[in-house]
Amino acid sequence: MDNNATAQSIIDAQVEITGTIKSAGSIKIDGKLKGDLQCDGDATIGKSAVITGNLTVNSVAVAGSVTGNITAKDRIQMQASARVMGDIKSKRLHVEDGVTFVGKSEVNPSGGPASSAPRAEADEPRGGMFGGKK
Amino acid sequence: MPPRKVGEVDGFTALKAAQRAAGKPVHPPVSPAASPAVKKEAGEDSKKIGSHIGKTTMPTRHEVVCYECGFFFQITGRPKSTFCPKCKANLTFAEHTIETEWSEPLKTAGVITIASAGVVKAGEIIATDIVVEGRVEGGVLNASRFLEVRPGAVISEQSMKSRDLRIAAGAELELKAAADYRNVEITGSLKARLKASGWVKIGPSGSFTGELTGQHLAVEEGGGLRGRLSIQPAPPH
Repeated sequence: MDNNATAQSIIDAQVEITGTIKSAGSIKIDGKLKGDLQCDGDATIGKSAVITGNLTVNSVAVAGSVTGNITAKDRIQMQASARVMGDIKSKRLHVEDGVTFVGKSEVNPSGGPASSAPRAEADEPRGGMFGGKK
Repeated sequence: MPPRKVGEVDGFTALKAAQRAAGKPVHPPVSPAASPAVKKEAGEDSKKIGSHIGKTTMPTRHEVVCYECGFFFQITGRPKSTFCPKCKANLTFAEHTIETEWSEPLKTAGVITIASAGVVKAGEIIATDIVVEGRVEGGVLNASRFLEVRPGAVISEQSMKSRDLRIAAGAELELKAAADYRNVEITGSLKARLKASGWVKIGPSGSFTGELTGQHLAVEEGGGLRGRLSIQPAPPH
């Protein structure tokens, strides 16, 4: 059977891998991975997946837990159940409400030069006159 | 049969009214083995005029914050004015558009728009919603709900006070000091160190640069996000 066009490697929920995974095609991870993932295709991180390591992929859809940096050539999608602790870098980003994300983000769809973040000053946060604010 | 007197209700009518109020079917439920004739009758009933109307439309409720005492309450409909239940102040819902230089205080429970030709020099402008298309060189814009920054607006953060913030498509805003809002909707460009107690939405044409701390973040495809983020939803109660 020749189904290379849709070939997908699957790491099942019962599987735990320690080491680096390199994949030329698409991959779906539902299990545990302690190590990096390098994927030339699209990666799917399932709800039950727990990854401790860096992801370097073409595009990735995250529904599970990732502790590490994610670098995608094309697109990162974080679904509501996603939990990402690390930096992300991509051309396109889609984030659903409900994600947990702590890290730095560098997503610039227009591909323009990076603009500097505003200066950090020790000013007090501003408050409103209508007492119920914040 | 003698004609029924006005104001007199017979037992069957009272029973039907009580069943309607309890949400129960007036007629006994038809069993699955009901004859086709019964089903056909039910189908014809559903085509009666007005049969698609299931509920009575209720007037829309509006949230109002008294601009005199800050009391929050709700009203139905769209009145031109009302009284604050707490301080009894007369609140007007008039909508204003500032198209020239303005240096006076202005209060309304409606919407104030600072048009592209408008320049606010001084005075406190208080409204439920404030839309800025012009220049704010002095004074304070105080919105009890949201403040919307549109393309061409020139405004400093010292002049902005609101619960929610909207950056319209094409608009650019930079906040140098730490900013604290409830909900933030970005379809333009925002640079800030932002803390949001509600949600932050970045639209397809929106971009955010800076630091963001909050509980809810949604980025639509095409939205830009550059900076340090900490998004951690509160645990369910």
